[in-house]
Amino acid sequence: MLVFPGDPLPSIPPPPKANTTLKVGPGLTHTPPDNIVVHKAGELNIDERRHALWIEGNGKRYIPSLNDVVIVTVLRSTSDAYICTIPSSISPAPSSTQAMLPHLAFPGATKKTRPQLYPGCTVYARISLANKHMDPELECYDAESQKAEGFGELKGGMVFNVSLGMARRLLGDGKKIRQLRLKQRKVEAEKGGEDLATDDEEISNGMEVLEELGRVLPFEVAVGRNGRVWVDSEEPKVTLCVGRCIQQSEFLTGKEQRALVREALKKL
Amino acid sequence: MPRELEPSTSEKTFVLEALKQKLRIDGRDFESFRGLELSFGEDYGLADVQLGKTRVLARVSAEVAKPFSDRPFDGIFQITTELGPMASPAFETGRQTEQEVLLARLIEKAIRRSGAIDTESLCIVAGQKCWQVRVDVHFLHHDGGLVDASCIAVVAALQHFRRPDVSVEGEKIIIHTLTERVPVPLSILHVPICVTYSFYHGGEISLVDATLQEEQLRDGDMTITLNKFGEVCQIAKAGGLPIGALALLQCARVALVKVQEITAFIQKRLEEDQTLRTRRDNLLESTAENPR
Amino acid sequence: MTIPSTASLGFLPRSDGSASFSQGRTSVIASVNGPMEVRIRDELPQEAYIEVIVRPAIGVTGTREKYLESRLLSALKPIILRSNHPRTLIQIVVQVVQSAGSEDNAITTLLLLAPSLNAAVLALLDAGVPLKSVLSATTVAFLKGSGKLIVEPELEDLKKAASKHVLAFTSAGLLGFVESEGEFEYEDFERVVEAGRNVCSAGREGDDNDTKMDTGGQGVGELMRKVVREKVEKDLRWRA
Repeated sequence: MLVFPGDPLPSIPPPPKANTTLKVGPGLTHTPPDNIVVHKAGELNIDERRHALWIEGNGKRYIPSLNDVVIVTVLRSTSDAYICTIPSSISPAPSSTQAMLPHLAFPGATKKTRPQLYPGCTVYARISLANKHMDPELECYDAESQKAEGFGELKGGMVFNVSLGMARRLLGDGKKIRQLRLKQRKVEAEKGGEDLATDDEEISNGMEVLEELGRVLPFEVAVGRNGRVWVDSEEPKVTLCVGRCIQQSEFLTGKEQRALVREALKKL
Repeated sequence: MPRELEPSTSEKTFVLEALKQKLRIDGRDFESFRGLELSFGEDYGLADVQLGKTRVLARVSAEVAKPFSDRPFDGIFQITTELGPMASPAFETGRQTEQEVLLARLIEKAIRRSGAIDTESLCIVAGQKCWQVRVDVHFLHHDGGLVDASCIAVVAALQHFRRPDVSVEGEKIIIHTLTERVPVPLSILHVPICVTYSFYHGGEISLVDATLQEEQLRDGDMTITLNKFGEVCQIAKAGGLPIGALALLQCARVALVKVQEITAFIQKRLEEDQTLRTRRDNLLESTAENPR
Repeated sequence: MTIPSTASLGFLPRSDGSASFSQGRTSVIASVNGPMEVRIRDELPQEAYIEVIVRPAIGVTGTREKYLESRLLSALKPIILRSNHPRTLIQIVVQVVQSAGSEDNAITTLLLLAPSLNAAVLALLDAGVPLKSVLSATTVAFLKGSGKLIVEPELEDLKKAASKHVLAFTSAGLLGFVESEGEFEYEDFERVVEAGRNVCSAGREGDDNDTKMDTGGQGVGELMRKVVREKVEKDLRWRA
């Protein structure tokens, strides 16, 4: 259901278990005690099981939020932290938020054994502090396991931009959306009195381009929620092919993405 | 105002490495311009140019003014290029950056000083009245190639523009409105087009029409302005790394081919716009409605 | 006679949001960037700083552009949820591409106000800047002799009008912005507001088509919703 800022919200179905808190996601602003206002134009999604609602939309400017994984660039180093910039999905980035990455925010780092990062480095990090009043802070290890898990410096390769929505899909959000849509379609089909025989394949999960490319080409990829994708492989032309395919599959459905990749691989 | 962010080290190394292997990020070869699109507005003298993602608008207007006292037989011709925050948040209004000054000087030399417009034909009454032709260039989107795109926009808009017809009877000057008499095109002597080269790896690699990412990583650049007859209007090489004279001649030869292609493209678009206009005017004349 | 309007969204890749709005011979482009880094002297501790810049088609910025900037700022500032992004800058740039009439006077300036406001609101929607509501604006001319109201008039109608009004409404039909010029009685003003409201308010999703106006074409409010709907559908196209 398409909603615009200022539109009234439809009635929300009650949660399956009583007393579950209502989770309000992006695109909605909550003014206590019980007023929820739509502030972005997009599609309103309601997940009844988790009692959550949010607005699905796309954008280019990234707003830092807790626990997001992002690809940042180091600007300079101070006595106890690196000052990094979190670029948005616009390239080349005109300006962006500045974030702090403490020198010791790496797994097993001490003053003597910490990794040295230089201005211009690309780093894969996690946002450990983000609110609208303060500059965000970053960490290079996983919150639960305290291990590296792929965070840290990304050497070599090339960084490409995608829109924020595409970045979310590449990180796997598409799968959750697909579950939701399947459920919605089943409910609609039941209302209409018919049986739904949808194939899982029909609703795409947004990541087909990576799956197709991964079948044939060897490459490494890291996706940041701020709309940046880092790709590395042995030869520049493979990196370029992967990067361009990802950028061009922004608005394509799953089937079209597979077709695009097949075409690109033939030319390679 | 926020500054443009410098590209990260990995972007730098990758782009330069790819160039060594004759690969450009957008897949072009070293001597191709990006896709060029040109459209005109309903008003005369409005040209909208899209060179890849770079988008520039040029608007030509004319009004009657007093000529300069040291040039009583010439009209006045001005070009204004102001980089605004729409093109990039790094550009501030009111403050003139180095880039803006260089851009304005380049366009000035390429079009005004090379005599693209015959300013003597703009004179109405010597020493008293002349046409003041003004071109305003608006930058909507900056993805590199601002000089090339704005030059194309200005020359296209100048060729598209029509000024009101003037008749002089003794002491009186009558400026006819656009509906009284068919407006008159400007007297254009030649069509200069700019081609900008960017150099990398100590001058070994030279590219035509760099995107913003390629511009940020280049070692030096040079702009050659030619018309389709092969006459060089200006060569601008403001510092950067030294280039051999033979390399320069080679660049000029390639540029000539590009200039001829672009001039032919502009001509084609102008003719298409003209046929559209005559069809629209004929339709208007042949309607049977009464004016309210 | 009402003139037709067209709009389009999201065509400037490096701006966070961009939109164009054309009405007859008036055509403007708006771009929105932000929330982004703010100059120290403009920084506000609890809210975002909103900046509006208007660039003319011909010539350099002058009084006319400053007037449009101040009107647009007063209309847009209240609808942006500024406290969501304190200490940042939201920059709105409006570029006039073509404007009706060749003279530079109050009437041609007034004709630019409604398209600029519409383009700015569309660009804000495209950029995803948090908004309290959507404003759509229209111009209404009131001719004293005949008592006739013309919504979205042409330049000639405006020249003959006794009073000219630019009105902006939210999608719920509340009046958000008014700029009036000329002599008029209060009853006439009420009629002007009603006429503007009909054009600017849009049918909601699920409304039946009986509520469409009888002007034949789309009202401004509906046009803006249609353009945004196309953009959202394109963004969500991957789901098929």
